[in-house]
Amino acid sequence: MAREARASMSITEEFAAKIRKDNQKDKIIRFAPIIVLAVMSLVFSAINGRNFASVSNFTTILNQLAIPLLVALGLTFVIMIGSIDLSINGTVGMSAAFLGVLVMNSRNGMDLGLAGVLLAVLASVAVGMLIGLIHVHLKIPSFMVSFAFMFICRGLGLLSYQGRPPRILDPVLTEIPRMSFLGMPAITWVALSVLLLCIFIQEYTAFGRYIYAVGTDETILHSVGVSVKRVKVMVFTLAGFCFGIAGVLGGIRLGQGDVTVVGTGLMFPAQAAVVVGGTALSGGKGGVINTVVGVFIMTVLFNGLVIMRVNPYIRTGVEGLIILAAVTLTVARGAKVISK
Amino acid sequence: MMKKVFALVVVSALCLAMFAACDTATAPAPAGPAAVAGDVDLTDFVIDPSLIPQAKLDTTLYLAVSIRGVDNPYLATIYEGMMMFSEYLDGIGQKHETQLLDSGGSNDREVNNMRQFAARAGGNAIAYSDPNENAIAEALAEAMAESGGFIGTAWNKPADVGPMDYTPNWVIHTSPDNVKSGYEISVALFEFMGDSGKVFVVEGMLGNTAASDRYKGFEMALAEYPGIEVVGHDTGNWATAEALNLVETWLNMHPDVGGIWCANDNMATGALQALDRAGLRGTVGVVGIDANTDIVEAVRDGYAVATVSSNGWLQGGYTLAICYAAWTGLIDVASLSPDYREFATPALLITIDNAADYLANPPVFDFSRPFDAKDR
Amino acid sequence: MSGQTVGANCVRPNTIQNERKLIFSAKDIHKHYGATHALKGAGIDIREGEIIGLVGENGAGKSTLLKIIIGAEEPSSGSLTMHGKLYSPRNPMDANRAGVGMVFQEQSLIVSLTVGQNLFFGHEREFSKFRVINWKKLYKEAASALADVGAGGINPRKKVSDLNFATRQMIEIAKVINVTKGASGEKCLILLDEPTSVLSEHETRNLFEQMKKIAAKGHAVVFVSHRLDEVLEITDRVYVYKDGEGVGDLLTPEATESKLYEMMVGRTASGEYYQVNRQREAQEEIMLEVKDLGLSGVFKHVSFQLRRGEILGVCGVVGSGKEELCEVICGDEKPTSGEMYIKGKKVVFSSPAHGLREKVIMIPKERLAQGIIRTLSIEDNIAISSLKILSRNKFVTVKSVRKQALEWISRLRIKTRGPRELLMRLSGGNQQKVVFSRALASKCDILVLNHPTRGVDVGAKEEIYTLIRGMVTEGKAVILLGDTLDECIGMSSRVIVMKDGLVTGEFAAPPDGKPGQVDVVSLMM
Repeated sequence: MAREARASMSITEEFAAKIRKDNQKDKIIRFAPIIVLAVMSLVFSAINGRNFASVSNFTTILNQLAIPLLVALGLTFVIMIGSIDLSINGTVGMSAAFLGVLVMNSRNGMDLGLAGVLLAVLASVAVGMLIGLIHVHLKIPSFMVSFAFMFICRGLGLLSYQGRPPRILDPVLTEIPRMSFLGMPAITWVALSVLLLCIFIQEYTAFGRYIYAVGTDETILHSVGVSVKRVKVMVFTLAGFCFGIAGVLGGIRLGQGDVTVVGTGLMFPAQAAVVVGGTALSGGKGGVINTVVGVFIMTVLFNGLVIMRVNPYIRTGVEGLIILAAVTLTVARGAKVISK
Repeated sequence: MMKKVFALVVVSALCLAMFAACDTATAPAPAGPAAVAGDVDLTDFVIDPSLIPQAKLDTTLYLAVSIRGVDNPYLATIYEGMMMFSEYLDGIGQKHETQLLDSGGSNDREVNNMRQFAARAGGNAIAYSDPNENAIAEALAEAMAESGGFIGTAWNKPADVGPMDYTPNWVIHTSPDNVKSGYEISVALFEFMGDSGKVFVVEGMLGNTAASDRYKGFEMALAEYPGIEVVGHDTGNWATAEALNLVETWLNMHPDVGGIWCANDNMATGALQALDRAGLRGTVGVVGIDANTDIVEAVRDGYAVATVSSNGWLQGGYTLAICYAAWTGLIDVASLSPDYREFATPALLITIDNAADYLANPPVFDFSRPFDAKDR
Repeated sequence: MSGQTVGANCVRPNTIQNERKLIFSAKDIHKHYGATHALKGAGIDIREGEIIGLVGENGAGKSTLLKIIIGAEEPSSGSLTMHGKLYSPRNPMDANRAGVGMVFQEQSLIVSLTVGQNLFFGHEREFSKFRVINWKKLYKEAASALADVGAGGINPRKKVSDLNFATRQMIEIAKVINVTKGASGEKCLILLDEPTSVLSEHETRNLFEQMKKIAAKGHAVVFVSHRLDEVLEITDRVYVYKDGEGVGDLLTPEATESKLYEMMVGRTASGEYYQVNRQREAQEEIMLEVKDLGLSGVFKHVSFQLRRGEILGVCGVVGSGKEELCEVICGDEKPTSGEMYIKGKKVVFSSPAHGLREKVIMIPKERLAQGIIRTLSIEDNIAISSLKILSRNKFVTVKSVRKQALEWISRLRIKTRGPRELLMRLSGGNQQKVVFSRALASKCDILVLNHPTRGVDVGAKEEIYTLIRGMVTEGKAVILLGDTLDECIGMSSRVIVMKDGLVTGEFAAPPDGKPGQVDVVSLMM
């Protein structure tokens, strides 16, 4: 009996050791994105430090970061609850188009100024909420609903300016891209304030906790009486808000309210940034800070390769390879089941 | 259950609304007898309404432009070209209907659209098509040929297939000369820079015919101006935001750049935004192609050096006019020489000299002289 | 069978216990899951300050009863009272409000959140002003809640994913106590389902300390465990469950392990039921031999030989390592130590497909999740593991698939309208027959049957026994994890017993000398 007890103890110990090992692995993985970013920055600095590691280039990176960051922030919460939002290009383009036709522009006599900006963001918020409501109440997978809304929003945007995109003429708005404060562009300041808002929501509200819980196990919420549907709708609405801000800033940055010009090529880099940052596509893991690192990785990668003057014919391929390598390092992979 | 019913109701309501909108379309009328084809001199070929038999004028003719969508200004001018031609047809008393075949960038959809359009029109159809990719040009012509309508294509087609293979239905294939456009804006840029200095090159989507032709034009010009140095060269994938990011990044390294060459105006817009932020707007020359309104205005105001108008109105309107002449029998497609079947359409270089004119006077076209569209 | 009621069965030692106030009582609880009658009139009475043990074999109904008490399941009939009032929780939240909390076997913590965030999950409002959470206040509160259960050493700001299982268990307990304490001013009822299975000796000690403290405050604790020594050590009173009924409760001082074993083993069915007359002596040829097999952290030192024509039963409670042993044998898991030989040839399986090539196949326990594809037809389901055998020149014809299906449908008397019928339209028993057909069609020699009669009705069970007997008569070798202990002993020609990852005993089980259930159980728990 005593011998048995000792032997069985060792099995429990083995088990505990295994868990410890897994936890350690987890911890390393948690820091992998930041390590990837650091290594990448070091490599670029070593190759072309004079140009890469300069203050002006850092400002440029911050400026280029703004819109991808906003999009990725919205997407982060959606991915954290285990859903997906494919409407990005549409909603961002739509709010840019709405901004274009609502403020002083080259297409019509509108001149709503700030109210136009708010309305453009609000439109995107409404779309986000609608996606959420349809997703949870009609029980249609989020990727399908949002995919449909990508087209709907594109259509609405095109319709708003009837094929000929408006140029933004509002004197305040056209001045914004040139403005900077403490050496950082105004647009980036806006993105940073949205980032702070997102961090606040994630860290200081009950809603933030519920986002993690929905992604981990919905039954936990049921058992404490929190409405999973409500949380999901709120997440999609928040995403709509982020996309709306991104659209408005994109419109301002490019000086025009063009659906395709502003709302192109945002979605997949955003998904990649979120995943590279270490937020699991299955939900429940990661968060806003991870996404910030992910967006930095993506932006620095583009910036560094351009500065190195990599042949454009191979740059795109190299970018893909590095992203793949980064994901391999940062995503925790289960042993048995291959993740979607 | 209620939710499903609700969803069904919403969808059916939408469908009904759409059908109602399409209701104006009527069944195709039987094709009229072909008019006598005159032996015409094509340089001065004129559509003479009096030679068109009344039966043809009373037959409903279906007009279409098949394009990727109307979501950029250039494509919108193609559609407008059709609408201008439609007004001309109203003027001569031709019964007709117009349609936009929107492919949304999908090959399958474009071919299917054309097939359905041609079949519905039963031979009384003329169309302008900008094939989504080279490969489907033949399929589009074939779709039209099956039903006996007439088609003119623009920009994209494989080198080994052409209108001659589908006489008479594939009437013409035209394309603005991209190499020439690329060359002309380069020369304008280098002249602006005083024959020397640093330039950035923002190419279009790699592997795209138009992109590589335009870049070829740039290289030709570069060879003639040894004082010019390329210090930044990458692809902006035709996109404003990407061009903006590229130019922003390069400007940090080369704030002394003298000019930025962009393969289209969307990217030129991005370049201008980057310059604006760096406080370099107006001192650095920017060129593009496509004559987007904002760039033409920038040219007028001295912020950009040049752009080129591919003239979508002309492409869309004149192509349909030539197809119309073929449908009425005013020209005999089989007797046209190959250089009237495939030709370059005139592109217009817009510089500070003519930009204001270009903006002030919407182009006027005489659709009775369709072969004016041939670059001479 | 369900004619007897609990009352008739219970020998109630109503002595000192009556002096204490009753907190909770359940009477004549029945629960049906489709054809399965999981609880047949169960009852339990719990008094203030009591630690109650709940023991029984797997499937005796303990977990079902707990789920009903916590509101995760609704009873089919019967009544519950809490503090003398009628109590019918619709969900665990209701139960919490009434002062009932439970630590589930599967942990319910959100690992990406901190300890404090988990403790007050869903109650953030209490720490919020204008919807902004005052973390300082919450963590302070969390620290005192942890200190209440003697886990003051845990930093409430730590992420749960950084903590080991024992610590997580303590957090679960703190959470439950906190929730129930906040919810009702009266005494609470805490349910612990197998809390010690992942704990080390030292951690178990600590848990027991806490349980005693909780009880000393007048709260009641229900402790479910397979470890009888622990039950005897910590509890005041023990309820024994068998086949969905309470078979009695004893004051712990009056209970001994052997007494409990006797109470909890099920009735032994006649040899006829398991067709013992068809049991043959094993042949000489050794089909499978494992030597010192182990899977790190789960089981070790497992050695046995399996002969042609033999049924080897593996007995053990959930968590004894028997399931994982099966997974290792069929190639689903790689062993971390030891060796496997098939017909004398050493093998190291890289996957179940590899196992299949060596003619080893498992009939999995979770039929729906692992065994069948509900949306495919019978013929396709049967053909999945035998496509190689059916194919000619790499192609499989519809005809050969159908022919095979028709053959098995008639051989196993599968009740269906035809081979094209979808699996989801069949009853549980018939689905299981399809699973057997697939295994048999694959022409494997070694079959690992993991609870082959789970969730099938009595008639289908008999047919499956006939099938198993037929298989070994044909010369196959079978490893059997029985749905009940009785089945395992009745069907097998030899039985090995596992406990906590080790083999604790081996019994020969010839037709005329089957080992007693009590003997086997005593090695299991």
